[in-house]
Amino acid sequence: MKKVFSKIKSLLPSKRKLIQLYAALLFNANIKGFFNGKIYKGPSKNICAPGLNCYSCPGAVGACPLGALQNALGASQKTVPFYVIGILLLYGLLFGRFICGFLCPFGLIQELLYKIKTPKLKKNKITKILSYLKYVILVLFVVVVPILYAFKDRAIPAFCKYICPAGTLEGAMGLLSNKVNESELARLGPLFTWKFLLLVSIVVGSIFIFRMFCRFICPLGAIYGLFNRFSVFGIKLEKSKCTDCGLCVNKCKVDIRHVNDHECINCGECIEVCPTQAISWKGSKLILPPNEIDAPVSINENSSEDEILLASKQREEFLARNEKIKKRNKILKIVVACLMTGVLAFALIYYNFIDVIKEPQLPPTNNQPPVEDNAPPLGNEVGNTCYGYDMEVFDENGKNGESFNPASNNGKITVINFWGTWCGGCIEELPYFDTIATEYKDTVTVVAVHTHRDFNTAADYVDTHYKDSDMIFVKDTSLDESDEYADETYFKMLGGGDSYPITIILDKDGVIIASIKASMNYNSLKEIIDTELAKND
Amino acid sequence: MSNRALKKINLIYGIATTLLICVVAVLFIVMCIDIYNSGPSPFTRESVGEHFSKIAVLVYALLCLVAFGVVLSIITPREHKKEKGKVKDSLVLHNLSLRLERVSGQGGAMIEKQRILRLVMVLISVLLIVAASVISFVSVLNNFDASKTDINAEMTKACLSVLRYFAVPVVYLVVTAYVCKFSIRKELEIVKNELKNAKTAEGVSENGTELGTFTRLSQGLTQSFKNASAPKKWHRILSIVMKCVVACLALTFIILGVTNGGMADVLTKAINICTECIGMG
Repeated sequence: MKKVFSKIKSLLPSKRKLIQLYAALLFNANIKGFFNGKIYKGPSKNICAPGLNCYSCPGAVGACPLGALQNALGASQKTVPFYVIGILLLYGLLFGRFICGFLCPFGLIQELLYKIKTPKLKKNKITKILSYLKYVILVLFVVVVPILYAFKDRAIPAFCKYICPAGTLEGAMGLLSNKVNESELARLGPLFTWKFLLLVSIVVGSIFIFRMFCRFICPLGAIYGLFNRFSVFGIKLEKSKCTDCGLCVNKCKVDIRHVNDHECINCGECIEVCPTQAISWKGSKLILPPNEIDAPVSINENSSEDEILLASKQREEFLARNEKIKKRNKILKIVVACLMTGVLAFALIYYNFIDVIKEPQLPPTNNQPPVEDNAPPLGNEVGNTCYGYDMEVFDENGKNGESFNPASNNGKITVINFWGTWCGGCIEELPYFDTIATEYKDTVTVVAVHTHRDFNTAADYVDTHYKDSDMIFVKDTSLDESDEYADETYFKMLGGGDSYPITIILDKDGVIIASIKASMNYNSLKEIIDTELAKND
Repeated sequence: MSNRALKKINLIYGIATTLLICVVAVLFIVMCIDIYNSGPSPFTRESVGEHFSKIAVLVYALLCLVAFGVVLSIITPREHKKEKGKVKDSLVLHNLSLRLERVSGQGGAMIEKQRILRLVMVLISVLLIVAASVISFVSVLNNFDASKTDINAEMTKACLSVLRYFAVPVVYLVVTAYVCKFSIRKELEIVKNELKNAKTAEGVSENGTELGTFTRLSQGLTQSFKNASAPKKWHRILSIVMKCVVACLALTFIILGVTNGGMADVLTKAINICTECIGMG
């Protein structure tokens, strides 16, 4: 029976694995998102999760620090990225790469993949050299490229866009696996193909190489690694006890030179192998005092009766103290476990049952142009007569106080593009729409509808780049401020989900002829318009 | 089942799993490229389903194999390997050097020669890397046109130009690493020889018996290492001060970020899906 119990005990996940699972569940507590195919949009997304956890993952309840950093650097021309840098400093100071070892969901995925029983590639000189690659990626893809583009008013999160496998796995695959987002498949093209191939390579690599992504590619690990030495939590090495036997470095699966250097993920596996107990957890004596304390000095044959009596008294005291410490540790462990379970339970209940954002009802059409009897019914599908909605034109575009209703532009083809200054793909495709607006000035109206958030930034952007444009820039909000559907209504009315950009093209009668949930380029746009114009001729 | 048989099963299982993983990965890549090449808007539920259904059997087989692996790891007794440590040559050299106060004569000159060689090699590689960084930075600034709409082409061009400038420094760095390794090995030999030669008066222990070279060496090593690595008070104070400064800086930055709209920017980005950022294009 004892054997069976010990076997079962050995099969149970380690404390570190449990904490990793716990963190992954806590940072992805919006379980309902996986079922309804939508991301969480509540206030907790103001705060960055410490590990690499894509904020477009349906379950994510916090922001990704790396994505937020690139976004902030991409906007560094208008605001200094204090917030994200402050958060990274705080996490680094508190945990360092302890986050990699214990709190990163993508690290957990890699470790589970590594558990598949195959021949493994151990650390060697090449992996040691490759471990510096992440610093190059950090500098180039996370810092230099976003800053370079920031001065051109374009947000290019180069790491997320070209490399991040967490975004592909948790974000793209998480959303696309749900049937609700079937239409999003139309967006996929060369970029997705590249990122999918990269994801497959990293997944396969992680089966054979321990934490391949964390060791060679992850810029977040590179940032936290800089704080490893002086972080509050993590492991420490008492140099006075160390005999330089090298057992710890040999046991470690990552490319460390010594314990707690910038590569160390603080997994704590080296603690067990150290023969002199030189490695321990920082602050462990404060939080969990050791179960054993030094025994009193033993007695020998020549000891007097008093000495024997004193020693036995000391022994009793020692045992009592030890028992007390053991009991205290046990209670402390139970309290911590209860607290952690309580927090997780609360998060799961809160995100899945309490903080549920009700889907807004579609607003009544605002200033809908009259629909003829034989016209198709109103709707947002191709072939429907497009919903109409009055929206305010950007003041800075020289059309102060005017409103515009895209559905009322009969007689001309109308191109409605939904965009946002925060969306790199939207910014990238806007020049094509501008060119089309100029080239087809007499036959096509191009309307750029900005997402309801951050109108001030958008106004500045439009003023700087499209002051004399033939496009009409409008705000996606109702003219009536008391309107309960005031925000982002037109986007939702025309079938918008959570993702941008979207382009809707109407014929001269206001009937939808194309609904494209993908980035467009000049040629594809021109082709649709030319085909429609040819029909009219 | 005997341990030997289990070992054999584990070996066969490992090879089979590796092969199957590689095959499935290659098929995944082939299917993805095939879908991509199949038309202007290739990714539809039907086309994805049709392509991946072809490899479904292999994927299920792989999953079964993984499940079998779990069972196998349960029934296989764990081997407790005795861990072996390996001390780096550079560390041994550092500790031995602490013992030798001064080496004069031919040995000293040879040690000095090796040290200068390493210093020169490292300095040159640092200079090369700095030069490459400056040149690539200037080149990127001059040629990188962020206003161009084809970002992918611009990025590729910039990456290639940076790689071109870094090729020579990286090769030189690898050469430096090897030269330093051999130089350390050589210096270690010289130091060991010098220590052997220094077996005179200090070769007698406190109780009068002569110590062996190894005993003296290990005693000296431990002592010198302990002296060198004893935690210094100012070091601890500096560490605490540094932590406090970083904590203050972090909190100030967060407050500034909240007030300058940085936090709102994070929310805006996090609650809207930027399809470009997750690779959906």
